[in-house]
Amino acid sequence: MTIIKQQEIIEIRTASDCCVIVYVDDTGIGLEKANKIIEIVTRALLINRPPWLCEYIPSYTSLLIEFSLYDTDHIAVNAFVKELVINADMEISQCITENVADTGEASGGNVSSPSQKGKSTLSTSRRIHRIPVCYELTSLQSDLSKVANDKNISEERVIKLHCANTYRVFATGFMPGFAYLGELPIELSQPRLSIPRLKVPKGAVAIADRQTAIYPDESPGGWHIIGYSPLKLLFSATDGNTTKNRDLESLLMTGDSVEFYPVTESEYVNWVNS
Amino acid sequence: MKIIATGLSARFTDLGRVGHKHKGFTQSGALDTNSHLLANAIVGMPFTNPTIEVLLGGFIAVATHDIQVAITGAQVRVLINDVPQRLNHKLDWQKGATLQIMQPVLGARNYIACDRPFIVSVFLDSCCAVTREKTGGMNFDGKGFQVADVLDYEGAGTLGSAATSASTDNLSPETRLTHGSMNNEFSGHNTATKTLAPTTQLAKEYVVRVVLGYQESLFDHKMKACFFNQQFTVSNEASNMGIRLTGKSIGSVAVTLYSEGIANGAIQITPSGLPIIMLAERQTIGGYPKIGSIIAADLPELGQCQPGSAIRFEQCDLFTARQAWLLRQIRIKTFAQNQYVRDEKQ
Repeated sequence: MTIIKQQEIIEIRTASDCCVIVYVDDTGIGLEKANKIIEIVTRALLINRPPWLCEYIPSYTSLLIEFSLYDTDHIAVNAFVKELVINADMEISQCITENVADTGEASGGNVSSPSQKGKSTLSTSRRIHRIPVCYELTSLQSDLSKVANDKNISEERVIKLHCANTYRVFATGFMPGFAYLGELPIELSQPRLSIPRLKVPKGAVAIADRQTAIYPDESPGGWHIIGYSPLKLLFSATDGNTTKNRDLESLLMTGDSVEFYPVTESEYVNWVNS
Repeated sequence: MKIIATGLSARFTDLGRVGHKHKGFTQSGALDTNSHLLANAIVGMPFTNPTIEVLLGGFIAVATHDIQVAITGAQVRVLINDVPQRLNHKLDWQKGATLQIMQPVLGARNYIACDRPFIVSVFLDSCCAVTREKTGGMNFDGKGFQVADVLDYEGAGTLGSAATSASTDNLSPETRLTHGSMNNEFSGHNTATKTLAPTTQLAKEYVVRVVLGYQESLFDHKMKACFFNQQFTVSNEASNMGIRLTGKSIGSVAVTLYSEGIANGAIQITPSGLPIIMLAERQTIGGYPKIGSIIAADLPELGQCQPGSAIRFEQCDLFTARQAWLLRQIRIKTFAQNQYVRDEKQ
């Protein structure tokens, strides 16, 4: 077995005159680990929070860092990011060498385990969301039976497979609150619709390729809808005193863990109305 | 002021949202930031003060108070009660008078700044409306102004209730000028200099500078030569989100990428080998290969491109890019300071 070193898989490139982008090569280590390394670097960046930092966008295997041209230049930023990566060497090597079938860490209870004290910085920020999904909703369009047909399995099996996995938020984007969750079991993997829907209803839980997601709002979309979640993915972050100043926060953030569980139609309706 | 006609689109704008992209919220903000800053400088307002962005003219409004305004950006006929007015100057706009912005002769966007702060709705620390996201704007629904909307000013006390936009009345002159992202270090204060208004240069052909980046190594020298040695044309698909260009295909790179963060001004090359320039309202992540990005100093010009405008790319290094940007900011800031000093003397 070859040993993969972080110097060989992490690369810092220019993105624009005020942005650098950090890439992690996933070919040797897989997407999950590459994304975890991105999470480690992102966290290290936020702990240091240099004064020139304007924006950061973590995604599947990359982290875009935007800096203020007033406060610094690309050379200083490059050096800073290199140092971040070197300082996080321990965590990164640990991440590269850890077992692939590390589902125990993601499925909960990881924070309290005393044996993982050394990894606490990695684990404590991990949030786990359990998300209710109504797979039997008849009032809105669904591809559940079509997916079951195409994959030659029962609808119950589709639901079971979809709920059995713990997913990781690889990236957020496309629209506010939209999280790309992976990886979907191969048994459910299917290419996108050849003709995208013009309107995917709000709350739709959909699958495509090896990913799944929830639509935070009505939107066009080319994924297969298999259910609906009553959960609000965007919530207000303001104190409610002002009517002229508002914020929205996203429930799902890159690096979070997500599990789905089935609810009945009446539970769904109650939830939506509550 | 009361809106009589909005044209294609008229809405409040500022420098956009900062620090919300990791949640999937776009940046938004004025496309021609230079004209936005200039308009504010002329009326003596801080650079973060909201202005009105008018796309391709057709804007008519009636003043509800005696105010002073400045209109910057595209070359256009501006009328107040049918009397032609100058661009890039402080204009008196009497109560009851009608302001009209006609169709631009050159350029696409005009910016109106007012010497009193508007009452705006603030979403993610910005007044910008984003139609695609249905966020921000006066009613938080992503929509621009509608006919018969009344825009109120702070302290005018007619319609406004809980005002939240930055009031400037209690700020010292120094803070007024340095409010926002401007840093004292680069002030270049010189009252003796008579500075020309640093307007955005309008043209039929825009030459914009590009720093190579992202997946540039995937594009061979032939493709790069084709990219830097031709005149592209702005297609009809040009908005605050981005500009799709037409021209000779530079060829495509066969590669599947994971979606990654998109910088302002990033140039995506589509499978058909043509560039798309990503602008203020771009989606936060995307998976097309990118050859590099337009430098920050040259982005304002892209806000003045119309379908049919020509664009040429010129390669640039990172040091030149930063210098160009700093120089641009210094010019506008020096202008703002001189303007302020002149106003004090009067």
